[in-house]
Amino acid sequence: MSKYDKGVLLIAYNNGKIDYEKLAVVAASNVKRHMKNNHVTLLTDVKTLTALTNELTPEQMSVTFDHIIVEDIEHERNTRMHRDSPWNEFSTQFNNKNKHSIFKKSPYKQTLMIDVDYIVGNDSLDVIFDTDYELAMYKDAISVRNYKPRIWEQKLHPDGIDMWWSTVVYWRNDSDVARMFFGIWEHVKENYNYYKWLYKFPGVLFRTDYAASIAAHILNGHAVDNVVSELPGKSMRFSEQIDTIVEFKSLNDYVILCPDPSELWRNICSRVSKENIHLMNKLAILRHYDKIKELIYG
Amino acid sequence: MDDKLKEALEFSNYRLTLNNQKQNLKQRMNTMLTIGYSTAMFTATLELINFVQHLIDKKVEQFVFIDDNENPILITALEDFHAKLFSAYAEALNEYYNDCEKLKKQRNTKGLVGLNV
Repeated sequence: MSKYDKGVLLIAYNNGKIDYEKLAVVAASNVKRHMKNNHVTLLTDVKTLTALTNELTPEQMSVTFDHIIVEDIEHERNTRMHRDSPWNEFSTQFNNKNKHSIFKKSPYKQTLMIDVDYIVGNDSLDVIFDTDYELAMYKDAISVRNYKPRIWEQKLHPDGIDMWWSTVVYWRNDSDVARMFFGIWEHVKENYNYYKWLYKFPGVLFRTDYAASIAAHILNGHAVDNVVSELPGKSMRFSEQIDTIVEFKSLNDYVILCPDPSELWRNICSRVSKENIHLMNKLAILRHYDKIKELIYG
Repeated sequence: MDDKLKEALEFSNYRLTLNNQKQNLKQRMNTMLTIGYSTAMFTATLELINFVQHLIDKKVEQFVFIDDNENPILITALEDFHAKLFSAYAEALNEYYNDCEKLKKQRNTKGLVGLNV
């Protein structure tokens, strides 16, 4: 039974290398600052909650998160390579294998789930709560350097189906389409090697984007249709893992150093204001955490 | 480095950054053009705004439009719909214009992105 009508759901599980609790603070505070539908629920585990309570005062906690769901879960192994600028690579455990369970765990009738490295800088996503769309995500994306994503982030295979980003997912919990979508997502996760073979995509990392894209394709009758709607603005802005944040001027105004993905020595600076952005270099956000925290709480 | 080459490369970098900033402003403008109306989403375009105005002028009371996700939506309050589309369009274009004017005044790469280093 849903306790609340509309809200934003964040997921944070620390992994020893990236402080997801701090990213959740940044993401939640930006939702609070820039959206009208800004009731925020955090889905987390005991270890991350402990880190969070050490990080924030009770007052800061109460203005940042309205509701916290704490799970006692064992994360399945899923190792991911990250980049922090073009010159630093590291691997971490990526705790994303239970992401499909958000459908059952969300306390909202209408949920907007955003990843904690997605920084909301305006109120454009509020529009989705006023629609009767049952399920919505982004299919298209454009970088802060104004490049399209790499081919494997546009399609699962160069001749294959479109990729939908699982970074931001909206659904209504009374929707049969949404229920089936998350059910297929789970099924794809459990049979990932088979679907990897079937849809011809590479890699060993379990990608929720791919599971969600396959679920959308199956629900569309294995064809192109609109069972999944596109979120407001139609294109998700993103900053690559090789990008570095130079300066946070305010919570929604920052300067990013962007190397050209094909010629890493060719950098330009891109200033992005009042936009929602998927900042993929999580360590770059955390390097500015103290400044961001000051901007949030004074 | 040869001074002429240095100056030209700095200008080249400036133009690249200027173009990227203009693209960023356009992306921001596009985001602002989306409105929610009658349980659907629409992008405020000149074509749509003028078509709705045309229907109002023709005293049409209701009309079916295709929303941003290809759903047919019956709109019964055309004047209100027009006002919301027009307002979103005007607001987005005004912000785009003002920000472009600010960019025009910047004569170096650092100024374009507001860096003080």
